[in-house]
Amino acid sequence: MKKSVIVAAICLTTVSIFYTSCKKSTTTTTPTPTPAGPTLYTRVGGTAMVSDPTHAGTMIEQGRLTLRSVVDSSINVIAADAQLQPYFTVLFAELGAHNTSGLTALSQNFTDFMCTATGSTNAAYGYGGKSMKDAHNPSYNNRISMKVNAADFDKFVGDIGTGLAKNGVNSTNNAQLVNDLVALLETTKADIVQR
Amino acid sequence: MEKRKIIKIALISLSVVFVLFAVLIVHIAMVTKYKAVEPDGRQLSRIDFTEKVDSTEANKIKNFVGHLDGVESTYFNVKDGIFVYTYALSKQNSLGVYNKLMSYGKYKAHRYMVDPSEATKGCPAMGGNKSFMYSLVMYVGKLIN
Repeated sequence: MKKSVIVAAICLTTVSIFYTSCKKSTTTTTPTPTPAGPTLYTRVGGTAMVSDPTHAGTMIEQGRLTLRSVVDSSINVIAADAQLQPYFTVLFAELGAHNTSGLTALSQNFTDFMCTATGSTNAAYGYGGKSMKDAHNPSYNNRISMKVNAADFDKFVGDIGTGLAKNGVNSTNNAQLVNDLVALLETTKADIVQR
Repeated sequence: MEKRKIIKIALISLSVVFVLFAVLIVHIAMVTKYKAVEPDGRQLSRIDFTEKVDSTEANKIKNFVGHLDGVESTYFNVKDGIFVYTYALSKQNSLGVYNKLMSYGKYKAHRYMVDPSEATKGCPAMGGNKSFMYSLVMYVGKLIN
């Protein structure tokens, strides 16, 4: 009896050590929100629940709704950007074949990423995709044919700014928010720009 | 007696290894959190203009297409002459929208279709990763979720 208790204790201790040692690293490539003051997620609406205008009968956090709207507007801007076109040919080929899964995934993954990066703590909105480094490296992601250069990254950030403006946020009426979001995106530059 | 003791130790060790392995699998599933993405029926299409379109005309085009049933959003890149719009697949199709726009304005424009040679290029929107670890993680994630 005594032996069984000791064995059980050893097993439990081992499992706990194993589990905690394997905890998710905090040094991921997902940018960490600024700790001082309200998070960006709070500033774009936070956790207040509102009805989802595109999914009747469902509720959504205002913060996610705002970010999703910005992401979807930005996708339109990016899709119309001749400079960034080479990165979107697979997506357009799929859309031409009436396969919209890539578009949905792009919107959802990008929104999840923005929620996580701006400080959302809702597990349902967590980003579960590849690290930015792997996602933009053809060796690890067969949907990207070439590495991103600095000029294309800067254009991408500019397009996000246009997406923000389409949602009523610009450097004139909310320079601080625009600057903070751009600064957040810039933290991913070192991982995304690989040539 | 000695043999029984060895068997007992071996069984305990195997149990511990099994428990650790199970914890590892659950842990991988928890940290990767595989999310199934279900298409929401929203389509995106693009029309390229080969004639110069100024911002006034671009607004007219956006307004016309934006008011078609099922069209959700529009964006016109005036500098490059590229028009993009999203719509519900159940209500519109790209050829229909294009034909209506051409009837409206007789523009010099064409629907953007990807050249097969370009289709090898891509965007990291969702993509599969061919590495062993990625495949393992995705497989385990799918099994558990």
